[in-house]
Amino acid sequence: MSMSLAAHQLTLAYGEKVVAPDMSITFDKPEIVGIIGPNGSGKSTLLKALSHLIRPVAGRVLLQGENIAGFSRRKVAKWLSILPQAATAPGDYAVYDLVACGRAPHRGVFAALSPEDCRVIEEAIALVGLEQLSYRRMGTLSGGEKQRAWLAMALAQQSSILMLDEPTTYLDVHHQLEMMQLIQRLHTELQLTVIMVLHDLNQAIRFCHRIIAVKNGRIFADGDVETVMTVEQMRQLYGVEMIITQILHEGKKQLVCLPHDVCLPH
Amino acid sequence: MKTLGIDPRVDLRNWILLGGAGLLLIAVLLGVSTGAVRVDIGEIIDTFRWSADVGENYQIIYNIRIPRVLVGALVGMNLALAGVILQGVLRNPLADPGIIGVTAGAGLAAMAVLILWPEQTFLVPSVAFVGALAATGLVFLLSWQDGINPLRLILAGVAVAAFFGGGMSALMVFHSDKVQGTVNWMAGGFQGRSWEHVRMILPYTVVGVSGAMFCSRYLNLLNLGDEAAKGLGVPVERVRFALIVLAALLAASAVSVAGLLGFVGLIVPHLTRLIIGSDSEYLTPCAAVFGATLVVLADTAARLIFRPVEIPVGVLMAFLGAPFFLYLLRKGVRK
Repeated sequence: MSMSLAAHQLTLAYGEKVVAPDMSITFDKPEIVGIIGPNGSGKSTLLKALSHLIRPVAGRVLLQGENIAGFSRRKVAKWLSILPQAATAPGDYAVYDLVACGRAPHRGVFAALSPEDCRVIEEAIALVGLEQLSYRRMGTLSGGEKQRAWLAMALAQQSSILMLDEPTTYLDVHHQLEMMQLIQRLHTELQLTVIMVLHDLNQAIRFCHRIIAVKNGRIFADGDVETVMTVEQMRQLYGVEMIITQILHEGKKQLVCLPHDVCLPH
Repeated sequence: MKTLGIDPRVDLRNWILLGGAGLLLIAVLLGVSTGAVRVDIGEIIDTFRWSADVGENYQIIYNIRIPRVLVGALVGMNLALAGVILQGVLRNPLADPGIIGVTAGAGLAAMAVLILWPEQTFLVPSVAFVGALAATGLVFLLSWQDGINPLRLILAGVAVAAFFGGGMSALMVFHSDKVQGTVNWMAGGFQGRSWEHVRMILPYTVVGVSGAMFCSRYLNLLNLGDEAAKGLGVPVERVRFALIVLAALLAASAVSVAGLLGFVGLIVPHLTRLIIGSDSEYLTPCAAVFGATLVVLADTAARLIFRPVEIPVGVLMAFLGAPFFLYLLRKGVRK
């Protein structure tokens, strides 16, 4: 089922420091959205506000047209799941234990795991391909496997919106690609709306349907890959001279982006 | 779809819990039956039978040994649970009841009574309890900032403990002639504990144990970090506040009847975690059982080793428990 999520004139702040003065944005169909922008531009803050982790100073986040501030965390957790950046679990949690945590919003406080819960957990583990490692402890997994276990936990929430904060940051190129392909497959199979903060522009270009560029706490550009990824906009966004070119690979056109030179001022 | 099979640890964990409960029972029987006067199991059972003739050891069993052992078990449970909760909520392995000000507050309050109003000694448990909660309240107040920030709480706890510790030192220096009377209480122990003390601590144990069981799933989710827990629907600030209050009550009731018994609240949670893992649904009940067993056994040993002289149970626990804990740590037992 498709969900609508929207931000209306959000003002976001940490304590006294305003990070984003005015942000408005809408997500209304299952698509893969990449949020890009320089460090400290407010990408992660935006993601946290959208997922109800932090409250906006002003403005509203609307989930299915209703103000998210009026929802309990538990209710929100049934609609959208978020994978925080660099999340860590106790090393002796088994993969299964972690994924079972994803059922928390659906369970009563005392209720044991129902057969339905177990089915969802096993399905989630299968979706990320960790069946063989279900009872392995988190501390013994590689970075890529850990990240997939966390992804399975988010899937066990059975939400329709999945938010990821830099899901590939600590992974090598093999596991980065594996992770992105997995996210893409999950989007297709489960009709998920995926909203993720990305640093790697070529990953954003290749896997996202829509890119949102954030600069100084404002939406700088928002649209499909071709609209956002232009030499001029990247120069303004990052202060970097990019070579953006189209290559033809196996009959498919694809944009690539090469950071060429730093140009000041940023 | 094919099932993933059964978690191989479930059986083991249940056995450990069961074994712990069995061990606790043995410890309790041992604690009641040994001492200056030995009594046998039959006499203990007779104590609980209305029809039976009251034996000559009835007074010893019913009014001295049983309350003492019970107080020990309840104190052990409370301290261990408080430690489990605090280490989980604050995500800090060094967290123990001392860190939220409980120990320092109880210590200063009790010492003030023992030194300044020695004729009011019977008030010590209640005053210590109030002191513990007052210090905890102060720590809360100092660390409050849109909810409780764990790091601020720990730092505020250290500061408050240092302040109250200063108060204790001052009392000791200015009344050095009366320090003797406080030494035993400061070291912690169960000498002369009666049914009255059982009644004082029992309600908190009941509330604490049920609260901790109720919250164990929240503890599991908090283990994933604040953001992940929020994302999973946990109202983190509210849960954290409630859990710390619960831990404060558990620890305050324990120190008020047993004195400053350190060690249990810090080491038992770690020991249990090494044996059973950090899944709170198993960790909480096991820590409670292990804490009770450890304190009862240590108290029994403290009475017996240098009979008729009793050594403070806290000293014994530190001497035996710390090396055992280090041994487990080196072995890295993780079942």
